[in-house]
Amino acid sequence: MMRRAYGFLTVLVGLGLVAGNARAQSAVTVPVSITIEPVLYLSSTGSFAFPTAGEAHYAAGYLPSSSGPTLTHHGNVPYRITIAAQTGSTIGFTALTGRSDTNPNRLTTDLTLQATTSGAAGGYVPLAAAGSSNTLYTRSAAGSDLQSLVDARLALGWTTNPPGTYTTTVVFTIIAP
Amino acid sequence: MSYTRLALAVTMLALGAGAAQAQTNCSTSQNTQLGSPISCTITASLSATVPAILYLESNGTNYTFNDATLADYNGGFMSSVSQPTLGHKGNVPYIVTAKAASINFSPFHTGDTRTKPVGEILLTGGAGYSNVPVTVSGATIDSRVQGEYSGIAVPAKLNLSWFNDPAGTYSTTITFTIISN
Repeated sequence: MMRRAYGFLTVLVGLGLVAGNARAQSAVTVPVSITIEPVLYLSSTGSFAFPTAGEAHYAAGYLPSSSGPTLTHHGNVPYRITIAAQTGSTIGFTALTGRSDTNPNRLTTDLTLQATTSGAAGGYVPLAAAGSSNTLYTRSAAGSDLQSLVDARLALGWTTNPPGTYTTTVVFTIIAP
Repeated sequence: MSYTRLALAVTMLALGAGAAQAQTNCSTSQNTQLGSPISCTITASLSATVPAILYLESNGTNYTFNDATLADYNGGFMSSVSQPTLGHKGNVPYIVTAKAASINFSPFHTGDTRTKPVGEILLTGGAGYSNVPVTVSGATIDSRVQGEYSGIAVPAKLNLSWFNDPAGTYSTTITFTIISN
């Protein structure tokens, strides 16, 4: 009777060892999900400055900026940078002190901007009215930092641009297509 | 005030201060709501000053007259055979004036006490300004709204009188000036 009992116990221990070996070798799966949204970045340093307009600028038909902001941009998706006026569809105008010239209500498209990126000038693009946009720069592939130097031209005409100060605010938008 | 409330208040103050300045950087990683557009914006202000500008040029041609003839005296004047051509432009309305350096021509005959006023030069400029006598203060020979005008010849006539204008050489210098209205 005792021998039969020891034999039964031996079988149970053996089964336990077999079961223990099976746990040590089993695969454990843990689901991992990381969501990466499209990420775009845009920043600027510097600002627009213009020389005082002269006869030569009228003869040329425009007043070029003497400096402009440098945009730094990157993204993990292709993107473009658009330009638009912050408000309205015309350029702000203030008559010079002592003069009473009326606002010529020049359209924002009289102001054209160009982005030069890695030495390549992209051509002048009119400033869109607020609420719409024009594309200043297109990047067809994702990538790290690029810098674009922006310059501007204000169209000038003898009959269309009386003396005064012309102002506007440009909104640069980086957007994934 | 808890630390959480203090941090929130500081954040609000910082946002308020930044609102008055141009935004110089942005990132779409700030977009945390699903469905929000994948874009962000920065701004740059721009200001350009345009002063009042006037421009005047001449082609450099001087006035020349042929020698006066019997017919000129009979007609009462002689006309220039060459004259300057002016170009002028402005971004404000303006006039062009002509003036002589002295009230009379330079002496033309030694010992002769007669004088010939420069007002006996008559210039024709823009539309509505024909045969305008030259003065020493400046006579208006053209008037324009803002714009660009070129190729405007300014011919001259010189009055001639049998009694007042003896033989001789009459000379003066005419100065053209552009003035904003």
